[in-house]
Amino acid sequence: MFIYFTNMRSIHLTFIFLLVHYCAWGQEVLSSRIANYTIDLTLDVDQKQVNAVQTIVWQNTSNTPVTELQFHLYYNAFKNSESTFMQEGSIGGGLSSASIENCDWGWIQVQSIVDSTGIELIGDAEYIQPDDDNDKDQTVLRIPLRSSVLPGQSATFDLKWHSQIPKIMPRTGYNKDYFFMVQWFPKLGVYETAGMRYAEKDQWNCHQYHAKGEYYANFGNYDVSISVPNDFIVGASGSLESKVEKGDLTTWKYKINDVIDFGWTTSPNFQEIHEQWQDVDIKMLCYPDHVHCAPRYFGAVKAAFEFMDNHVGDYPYSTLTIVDPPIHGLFTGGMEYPTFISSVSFCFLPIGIRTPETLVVHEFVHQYFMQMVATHEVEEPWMDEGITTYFEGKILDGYLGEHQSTIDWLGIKVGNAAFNRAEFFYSNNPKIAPSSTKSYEYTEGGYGEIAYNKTALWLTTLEGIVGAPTMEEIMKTYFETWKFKHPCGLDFIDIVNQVVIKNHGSKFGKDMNWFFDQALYGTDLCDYTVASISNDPIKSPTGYLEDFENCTSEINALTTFQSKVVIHRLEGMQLPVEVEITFENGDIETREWDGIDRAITFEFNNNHKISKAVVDPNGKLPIDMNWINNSYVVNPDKTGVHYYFSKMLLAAQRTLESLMVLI
Amino acid sequence: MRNIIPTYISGIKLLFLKWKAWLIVLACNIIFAMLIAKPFNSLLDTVSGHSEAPLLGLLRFDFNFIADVINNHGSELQVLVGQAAVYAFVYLLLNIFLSGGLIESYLHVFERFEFRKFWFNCAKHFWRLFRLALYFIGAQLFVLGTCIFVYTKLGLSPFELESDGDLIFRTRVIFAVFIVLMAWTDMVNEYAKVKVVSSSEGKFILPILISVKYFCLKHFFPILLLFLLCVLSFLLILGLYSLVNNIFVMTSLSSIILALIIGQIYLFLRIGTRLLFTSTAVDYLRSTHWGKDRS
Repeated sequence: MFIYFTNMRSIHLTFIFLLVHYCAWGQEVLSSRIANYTIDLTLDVDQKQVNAVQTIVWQNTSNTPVTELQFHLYYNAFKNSESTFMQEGSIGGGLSSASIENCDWGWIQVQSIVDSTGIELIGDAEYIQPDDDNDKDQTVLRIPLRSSVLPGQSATFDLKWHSQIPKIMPRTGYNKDYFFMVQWFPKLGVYETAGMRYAEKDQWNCHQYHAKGEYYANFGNYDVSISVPNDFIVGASGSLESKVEKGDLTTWKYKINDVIDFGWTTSPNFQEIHEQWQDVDIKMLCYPDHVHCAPRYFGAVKAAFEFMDNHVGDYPYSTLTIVDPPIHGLFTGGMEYPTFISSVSFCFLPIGIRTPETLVVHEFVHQYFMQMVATHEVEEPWMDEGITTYFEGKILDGYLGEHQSTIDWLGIKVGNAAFNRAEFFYSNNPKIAPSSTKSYEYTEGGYGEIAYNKTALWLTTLEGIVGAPTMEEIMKTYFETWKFKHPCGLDFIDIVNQVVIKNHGSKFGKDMNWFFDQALYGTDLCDYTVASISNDPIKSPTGYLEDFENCTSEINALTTFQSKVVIHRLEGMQLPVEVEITFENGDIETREWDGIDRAITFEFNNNHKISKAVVDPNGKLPIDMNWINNSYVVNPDKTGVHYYFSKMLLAAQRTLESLMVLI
Repeated sequence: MRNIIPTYISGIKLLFLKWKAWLIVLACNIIFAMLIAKPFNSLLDTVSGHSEAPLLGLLRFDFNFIADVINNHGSELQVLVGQAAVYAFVYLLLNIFLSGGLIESYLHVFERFEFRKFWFNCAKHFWRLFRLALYFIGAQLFVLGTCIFVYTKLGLSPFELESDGDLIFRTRVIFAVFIVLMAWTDMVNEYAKVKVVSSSEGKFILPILISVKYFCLKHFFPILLLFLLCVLSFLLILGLYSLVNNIFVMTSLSSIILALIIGQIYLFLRIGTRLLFTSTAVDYLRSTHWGKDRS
């Protein structure tokens, strides 16, 4: 009986605990909630400083005791010119000379960290540099613990810290009375357990802050109280719980659960505009002269909501805040934090230049890929930027039209996917690194073109190979399997292999690793071309055909032709391709080629000559670097060439005439 | 002031009276444009002559095609662009050369147009007009440089601006100042060209330039009105061409040929409006007795 009651008691306690847990946060528990933050901060708008107290409740999910903590102190990247961030060359090339004179640097200092027993740990803290030997870099703080955090145990730490906000740094900072506060507080790295992603043993994964690549963190709950002057308006991750005015300050309390980060912004000049998508409150914060951009943002982001909801999965949060920075806060545009994104627009931007739409859709898709499917932005940037760019193209091409979703201005029309493709091939060296490269290892360039564009290209190519329904299933399965977790590249490949085998059997081999070896881990380019077409009439045989006396010397051309189409593989990448052959009478034959050899010849004996051959007729392989050489027409219609010539001639005439203004 | 409209009409008449000179300028334009465009066409024909890819351009703006040409044949294109720049420079020199013949033909309004005389006058005035052109290119660069300098000194770094409205306002102000200064430079240039040709005695053109500047200041409003009428004529022709161009879609060889013909008509008229600046300047100077009241 005792045992029974004890068990019953524990079951009831567990039930009550879960109920309280559920009710306390008012929503379903979506993630492991390993690192939970309560922050109470005051913004000093005159000194551009933040003073805060912070409580972290962290859980050790490994099987070994944890003896130290590692914190990201991102703001120390802006402390001086010697940090790794500055040495690597930031987006804006660091501070301007005027800002250096004014000492507009930023920093963050942890003044105190006390464990649950009341022991002060800050005395033992040291800065470490796990990525390089730059001992001037202070973006990772290691804090040895007096008492280990045991497996399964939660520990609470109380921090007191203050920071100097940098002026107009990439992603974060202030300018005039605009503040964009991201990667702004002492944030724990991820304690990866053996077997998680690439970890062979239990270890902290806490990279220094690099110029490229952003963050990687555990899921948790955030409860942040932000005190700012009364006339300031605050926007932040999550939903506003309360707003209390006390003296000169107003405290805005924001809460959000099951996220990996928290960002906020404030300015007295913000205008707040609201829209609704299903149960989600979409809020836009902008300066008064950008209010007219709101319909562009809302239209695009609602299209993105619809698409992701239909083709990937649910958006579980109740809010989304879009920040449109003022012109003096330009560097903070185009960023993504949980339920809090920023874009860029100018009031003089023509409607046909789709920068606001592109950015807002891109940053919104990040809510799925790297916020919910929380991949490592620094170690595997392709998993968030590349997958996001892939969806950005699909959403925008669907919303604004395939051929005009990036530019539709003065007769120039460019689609998003086409723009990304051109950007990759236009890069200085498209072979400079594989897509699997870590963000900070793109030391010789190519980060944007490869992590973003190339990945989107090979994902679209994968879709072309396995088919759109299979690709959609891959993405849905990947999202459902890994949402609120931390997958690595191998996990994505596993999903692809599972779904492709399920849908296509061994049509593409025993797995798709051959594809990833080339597309993800390789640097080879892809180019297939129709090298030649020949149509030779089959002639009647000549010579001593029957015996040694009667020689047939008359050559009779039969009405049958031996036709050949020669296809070449000009680059290293090997992909299966379709070849469409058209005969003079309009008959079409399609051949499939594994694309492995350097060349292949397709032969036909037919009463009609071949008039045309096209490799990849449906454009399934956008990773093919040259689509012009994909087709060969025996008797080509030159109207297209004449068209471009006439355009060039008239343009040259107009340009020459315009030059006359000089004399 | 009341002479403006008759002067403008006389300028137009002068243009048509000397239509052969007008045609020479158009012919030069076509020849040089061909020299620039033909190598591009040859490259395009080599890389895509047997492909069906260029045909998509007839249906819509085909960004993929253009991007593939640039990305796969960028080095060849770079050579052609360099070559085109050289042709453009030679074309500039050629037009300085032609100016002498053109102005002389407008000056001798009742003389029959003779090619021999035209070429002779082109050669006769080339060096003086070339030097004048250098002065005016220098003046225009000075105006441009000054405007850029003032623009940057206005605190136009995006990080210093309160809003992009400020940027637009300041850009508009500077642009307006720039346009006014350039218009003034162009007006002086046009009258200086005529004076350099009409008073062909003396090696030095600086005294002529100074006298023309005074002349333009004295006759500022009539000259400005004439200038604006010529600008309006140009805008009218540009507007008409844009209208026709927007309606017209090139989808077949015949429509391409038609578009080329329409393009040539536009270019002919556009060159005409350029020559109108000169012909009206000749007529206006004549009506003021070659500015003798001052210069």
